[in-house]
Amino acid sequence: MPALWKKNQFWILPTLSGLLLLIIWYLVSYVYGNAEGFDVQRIVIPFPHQIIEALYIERATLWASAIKTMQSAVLGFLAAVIVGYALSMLLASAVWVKQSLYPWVLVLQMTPVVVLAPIFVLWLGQGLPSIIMITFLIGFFPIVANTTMGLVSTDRNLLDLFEMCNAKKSQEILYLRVPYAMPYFLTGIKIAGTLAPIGAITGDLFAGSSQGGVGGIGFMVIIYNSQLKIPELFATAFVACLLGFIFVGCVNYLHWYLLKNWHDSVRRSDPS
Amino acid sequence: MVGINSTPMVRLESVVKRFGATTVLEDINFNAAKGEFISLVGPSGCGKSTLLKIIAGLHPVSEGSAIIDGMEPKNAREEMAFIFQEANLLPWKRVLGNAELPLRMRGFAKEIRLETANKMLDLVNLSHAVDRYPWQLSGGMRMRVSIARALTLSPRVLLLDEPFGALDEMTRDNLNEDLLKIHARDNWTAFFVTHSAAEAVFLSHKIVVLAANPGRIAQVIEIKLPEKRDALTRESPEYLNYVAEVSHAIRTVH
Repeated sequence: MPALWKKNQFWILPTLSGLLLLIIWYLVSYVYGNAEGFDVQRIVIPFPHQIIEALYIERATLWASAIKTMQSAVLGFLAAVIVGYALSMLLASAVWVKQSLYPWVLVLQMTPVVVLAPIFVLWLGQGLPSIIMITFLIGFFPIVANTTMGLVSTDRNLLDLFEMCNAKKSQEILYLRVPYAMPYFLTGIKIAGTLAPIGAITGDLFAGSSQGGVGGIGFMVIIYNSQLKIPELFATAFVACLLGFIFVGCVNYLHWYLLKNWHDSVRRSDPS
Repeated sequence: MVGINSTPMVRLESVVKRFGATTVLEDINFNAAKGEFISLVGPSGCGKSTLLKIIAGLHPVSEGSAIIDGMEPKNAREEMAFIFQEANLLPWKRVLGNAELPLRMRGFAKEIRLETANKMLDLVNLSHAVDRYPWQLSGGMRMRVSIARALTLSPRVLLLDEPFGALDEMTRDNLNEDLLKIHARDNWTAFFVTHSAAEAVFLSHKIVVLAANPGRIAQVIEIKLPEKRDALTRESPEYLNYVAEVSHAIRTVH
């Protein structure tokens, strides 16, 4: 029995705590509703089943806006990966390059994206380009910081080995520096992956529109909020959370897949 | 040694090495003939690894010259291979991929790379493990991969920087015997850095004892044991005498 419990507690405990939270939610919702009248209750703390109902009624709209947000998140994330990697290569190429550029990368990172967002909307207009830009800005710093670190910390002895082989600079980069930096790069990607959906939704708040039928998640937040459709707002939050999990899941899979054969952080078992 | 091979394979002439204001090596003069097995021993900080890296061309000399087969070290890389402390393998490459690395860097065709690497892995008794990753190997096996990798280019000079320091005694003894077998076959010139007097005596024709601060040659001990050495050699009184002599020399240099 204790063995069975140990084996299954990883899902039993969160399920129990979730049920407990649900009960508390119903209680608060019920007490508040009785005190203030039904309509107010629905607006402030809807019952969980009302949220599920809203999720069902609005499913077509929410699905379409989820797809739209996912597109922005993926595009912004890819831009962050490509530009971030290229910038890391540049920063790692020579000390003087890093000294000249890195402080300005930091300045960009330290300026809150929500402050920059309206400026980019001014330049790029409402719609996808601005949203991608905002997603990119949120995601690219962790990639640059980690990858640069990986590229410059290559093991001295391995560099000597490549020199003894008369390796060309391009071979050293391709066969040594890039694979050596891979775990660092993937750590950067994991952080950027958690930020990308947030970036896409933030971008949507500033630059979203219902062009082409439906807006992204952030745009729907504004619409539902202005219409006081609170259960729908909660339903949207649920969808956004799900998006985040899907995105992070994909990135974590990539991390595992690329390192599974050799890196201490993920390889499955030790010999002997 | 002198006479037949009158032109030395490795020639060190008044080599001086400074790092900033510190003199690490002072006035090193030494020649090694083709096929000679030389060990470098001495207290820590005597610059034996630095000397090895000077021969490899990984460190430039401050004064004097190091000449490998008539060339500057950097131009003699085709003829040299370096075996590092620990095995220094690429963790993301399988055994075969690691062994063929030097050939790949030099642009050899795939068939030649695989054939040569497989042959060398066979030589170090690793043909059964070519598909494994380094983390799946024991310390001794990793070192064997490193040796196979160094041999793929048929070097004429082999530089070994405390290669077996991290291994247990039995594994180390086995590897030493295997190394001598391969040496008898290929007859490269070896420079072998070690802390172990026993290992140095077993392997070498000559042992160079370095003194520290600054690093300089204190003594060269010639080991006149029979050319063919095996596990039994370690039990012979001549061998044990040499080990005592070398240990004493390391302890008392200054």
